[in-house]
Amino acid sequence: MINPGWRTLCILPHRSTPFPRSPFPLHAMLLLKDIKKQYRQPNGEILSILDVPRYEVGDGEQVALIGPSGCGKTTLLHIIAGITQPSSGKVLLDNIEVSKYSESARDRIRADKIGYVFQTFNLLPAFSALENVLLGMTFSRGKKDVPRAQSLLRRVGLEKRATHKPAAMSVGEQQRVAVARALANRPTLLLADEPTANIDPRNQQKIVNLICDTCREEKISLIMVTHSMQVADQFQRIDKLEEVNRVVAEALADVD
Amino acid sequence: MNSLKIAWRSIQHRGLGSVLTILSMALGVMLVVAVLTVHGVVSQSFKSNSNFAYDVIIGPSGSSMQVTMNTVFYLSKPVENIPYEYYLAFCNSDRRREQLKHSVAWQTRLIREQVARANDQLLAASMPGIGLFGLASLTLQNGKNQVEDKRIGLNAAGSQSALAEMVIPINLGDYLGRFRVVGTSTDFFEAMLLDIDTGKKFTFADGRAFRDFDETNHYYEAVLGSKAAKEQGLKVGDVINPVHGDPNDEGSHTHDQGFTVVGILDSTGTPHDRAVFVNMEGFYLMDGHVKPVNERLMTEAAPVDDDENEESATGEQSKNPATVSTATKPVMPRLPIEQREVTALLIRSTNVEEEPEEDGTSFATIGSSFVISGNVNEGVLESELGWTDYRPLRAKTEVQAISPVAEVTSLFDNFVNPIRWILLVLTIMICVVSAISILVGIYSSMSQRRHEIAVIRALGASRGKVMLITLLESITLAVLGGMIGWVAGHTLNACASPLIESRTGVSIGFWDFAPGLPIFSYLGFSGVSWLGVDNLEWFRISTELFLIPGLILLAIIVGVYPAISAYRTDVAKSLG
Repeated sequence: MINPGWRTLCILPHRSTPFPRSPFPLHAMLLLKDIKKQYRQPNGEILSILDVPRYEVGDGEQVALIGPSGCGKTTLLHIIAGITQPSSGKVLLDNIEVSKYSESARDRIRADKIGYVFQTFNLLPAFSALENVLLGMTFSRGKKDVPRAQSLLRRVGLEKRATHKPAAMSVGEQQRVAVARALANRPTLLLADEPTANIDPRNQQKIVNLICDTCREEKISLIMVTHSMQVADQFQRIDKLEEVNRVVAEALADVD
Repeated sequence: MNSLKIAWRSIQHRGLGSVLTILSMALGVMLVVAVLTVHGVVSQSFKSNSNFAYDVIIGPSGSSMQVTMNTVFYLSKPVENIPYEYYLAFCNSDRRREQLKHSVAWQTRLIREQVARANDQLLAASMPGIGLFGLASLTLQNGKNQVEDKRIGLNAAGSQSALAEMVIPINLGDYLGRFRVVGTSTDFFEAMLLDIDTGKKFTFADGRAFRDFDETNHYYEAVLGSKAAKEQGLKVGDVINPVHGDPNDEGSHTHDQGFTVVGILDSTGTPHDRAVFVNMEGFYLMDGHVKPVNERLMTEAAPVDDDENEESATGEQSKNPATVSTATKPVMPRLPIEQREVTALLIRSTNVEEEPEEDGTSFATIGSSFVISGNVNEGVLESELGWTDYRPLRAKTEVQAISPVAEVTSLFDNFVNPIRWILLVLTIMICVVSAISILVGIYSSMSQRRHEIAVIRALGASRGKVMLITLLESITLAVLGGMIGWVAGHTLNACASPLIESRTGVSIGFWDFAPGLPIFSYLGFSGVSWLGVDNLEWFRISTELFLIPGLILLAIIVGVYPAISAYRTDVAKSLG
């Protein structure tokens, strides 16, 4: 089979032009079809991680994705973000079939359309809060927009900490900067991977409110992976990964 | 935020590690710059000073290099002297006649003539009848004198004068502080050129050249090179007392005789800036500079007035000329030429092509350069002062003719250039080690860096972008180190300038760069015909300018491995 990346190399659009959309527009912002992810183990056996027949997230929809540890939540987010290629299946983001593109093209799609909030914040320690937010828009098609970065910091309540390095900030403040960074490139989809896992309960709700409110205001679709039912209960739609991922469902059935 | 800023932030974040890496690179570059500049400037200075207004040095046999260092650069230990006859041999007829009249033999002859004339007059007065005899005696005496003049060649030019367009005597051996005192003739400032191509002559910042004889200062006038004047804090009108011998030696002593500074030269950028020029007539009269001759004959010969000078003779020779004050005492007679020696002769050859003489004169000219093939023959001594009874008492002295250009070229080819290459190789190795330290510095932080790279990749940076950022970090470290090293290298040169100057005679400042290379000539372009430029030899690029591209190349080479490692970073794994 020809690598889709190579196949599309010659028709890769210029950075300033939008990626070609599907001729059959969908209503979903995100559509996963027959996504499988398998790894070959050192002993040669195939290990299946994901088997998602179909998964959709609507335009502006906010979804809480819950599931036990090791059920492939992060892998699923990586596939959606184009960081990891699925073994088979299609990923359509904003009607663009992400999974058929080369790695560099997926990097650009990610830079333009996806915001990512990590569990461990992953702020770059050498950069100030403002610079970390600016990094979020550095690799997208848009130009560096300092006023927007400052406005985002204001929105997360850290406009006075703009010049501070992450080491000089509290855990809650760092995650707020990470949220601002994820929103900097005006994404169409925000992926939040357990953003409240390392935060004290008092700040958890603030972060959740911040993410949800901002996504609602900017009409950004949101998938928030969480262990906390208290957090998940605030979402209109809660997806259990064991229902989405056949591999987990089968594993649970075997246990039962 | 561009890639360079991201790389710069990464460098800042690794604070001490980055500083040490930069310092390591700076050290290497500092040494390269210092070696390139010092060697370049010194060799350029030596070569430009090789554009001498003279092309032959006649000096004592022995180390031709030492003679060259002494006479051209005023460096190294003083050499022996050579007989004064060699100076006479290269003088034209006027100068030679003038010199011969300062000989004991000539003075003795004058005395004899005066005595004979007085006797004749006395005889004529007491016995008028034999006046005719007196006239005949005088006529006979004149005839004898003409025969004598012809025998000694009074009106003839020096035996080697046809070969020399210019001859300047140089006398060394005295010091003023660390500066050499150079006893020379007035020709030094009149005939010597700073650049034979442009015909540039010495110019004076203050005062004038010393005179052969001055009413006020007599023979004791001095002209200072700009550096000597500045360092010694001297100005026109001051009196200097040279030290006989190297001031660092135990046997040295300060001459009582002072020289009045009458002029200070403009800076020339040559060793002349470090010299103290004094009138050689005064130089010879200082204690310790008189060479022994046959004493019995010398006491018989009492010097008398010289018609060509207005100076008054004392009629007796002081045993210690230095005790004579020029302001109050009568003028000392000049030192007879029989009692003189010279350290070396600077000769500008004529453009006549000649074969080596059969009598052993061992140089000929091709174009304007002498071809040296051996030592100058002793026969010169016979032809110049062979007629006098007052021969200097000296051991047989052999002299040699030296081509200063050949000596300087030889010095560089055999000594300076090999050392330069060794130093350059060593310093370039330091740079390579420094570059490897960049590699080690970046690579050792790769585990931490992989996580940051993964975050940047998750934010949308491509593999190529993170590779570029890593390479830029390497290049920035190298270029920063290079710039600091460049400044440090030039600062080192400026700080070491006094030391370099004392060893080489060349002053190096902060803004002195390594000389340029004729880059177009190296690339095989002799000219650009459509621009009407025939010669591109003038277009030179300093070797220092190659440092930065060289460093960037080095940084790319050492940065490639970490950059590839960054390129290959697995984002999913590294995000954790």
